[in-house]
Amino acid sequence: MDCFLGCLTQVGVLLPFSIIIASSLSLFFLFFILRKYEFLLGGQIAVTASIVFGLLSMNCPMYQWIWIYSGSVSSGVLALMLVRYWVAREARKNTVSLSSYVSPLEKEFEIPVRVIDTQKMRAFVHGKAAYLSVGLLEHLNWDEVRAVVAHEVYHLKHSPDKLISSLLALSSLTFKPYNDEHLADKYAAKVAGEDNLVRALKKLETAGSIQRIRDVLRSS
Amino acid sequence: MVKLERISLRNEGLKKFFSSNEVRILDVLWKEQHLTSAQIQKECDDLSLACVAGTLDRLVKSGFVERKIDEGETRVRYIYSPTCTQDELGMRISEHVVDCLIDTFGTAVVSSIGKARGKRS
Repeated sequence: MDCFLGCLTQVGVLLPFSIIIASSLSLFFLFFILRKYEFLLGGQIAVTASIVFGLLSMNCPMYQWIWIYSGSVSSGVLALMLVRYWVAREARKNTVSLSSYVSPLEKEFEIPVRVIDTQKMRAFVHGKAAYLSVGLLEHLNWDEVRAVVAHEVYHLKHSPDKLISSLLALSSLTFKPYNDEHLADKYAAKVAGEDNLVRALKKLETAGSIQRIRDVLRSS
Repeated sequence: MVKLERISLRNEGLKKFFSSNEVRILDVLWKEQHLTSAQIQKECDDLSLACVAGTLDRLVKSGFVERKIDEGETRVRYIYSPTCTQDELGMRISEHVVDCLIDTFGTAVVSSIGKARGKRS
């Protein structure tokens, strides 16, 4: 610790380093109070900056930590990029053309809606598009499909990009929260109707859907 | 085609080559020919819709079942049908298994098939 502080004071970076740490802590605090992802991402950027700043100011054997840190972050980045590439490739490969069926959804929500060729009930967003499976369109009625698309639209427009937030969580050695399902459900209930959303959640039977139904009904 | 590592000679009937859910769904499709997933699930009512969906995707991927999209004005659905009859399936599996045995054991397989045929007739 003495060595670490010695390095920082010696090269005169203690003050800017402290400012970055203080701002990251404030941003995390604001995130926990206001639940706005911009604060979390800002805090993570500040923590990343402070780690890089701290490591670069080292002029002793601790220099090796730069290599360990940059090595783990770059391998994490590579792994995430590969996963993203694989998901995009699979999604592109398995889509079917049902443009006449989904075009009203595209017009209403102003996003591209693609249909995946699987009987399983699936809905997710990737890139700038929402993906729905044929199985989902088969078993949900139109109003329930609208509720699902509205939920996904919320993620697309308000949730942070998964790749960027994962990278920031990795490089700042912090966490990657995705607890905005409740907000997306609230938005979907408002746009497509609470009953339709509850029915869609019941049919989808996803992990945690019972809790999500309770949350929707409680917040109404 | 049936993957060799999935063959379990200890099981009964088609369960040697398919899982029990796959066999049940194939049986339903051989009987009715053209069905939706909901109709298949109605026939196998102890299986959940998710389980039927996963099994159907697997059967389509392995080529034993085909599906086409039936798109109406207010709904979209798959219609499933088997790609071969039960007898044709038997032929396909036998050819595949015999080919693999011949690749490994050569002419010994041909003579044992001849012997087995002789015993049965």
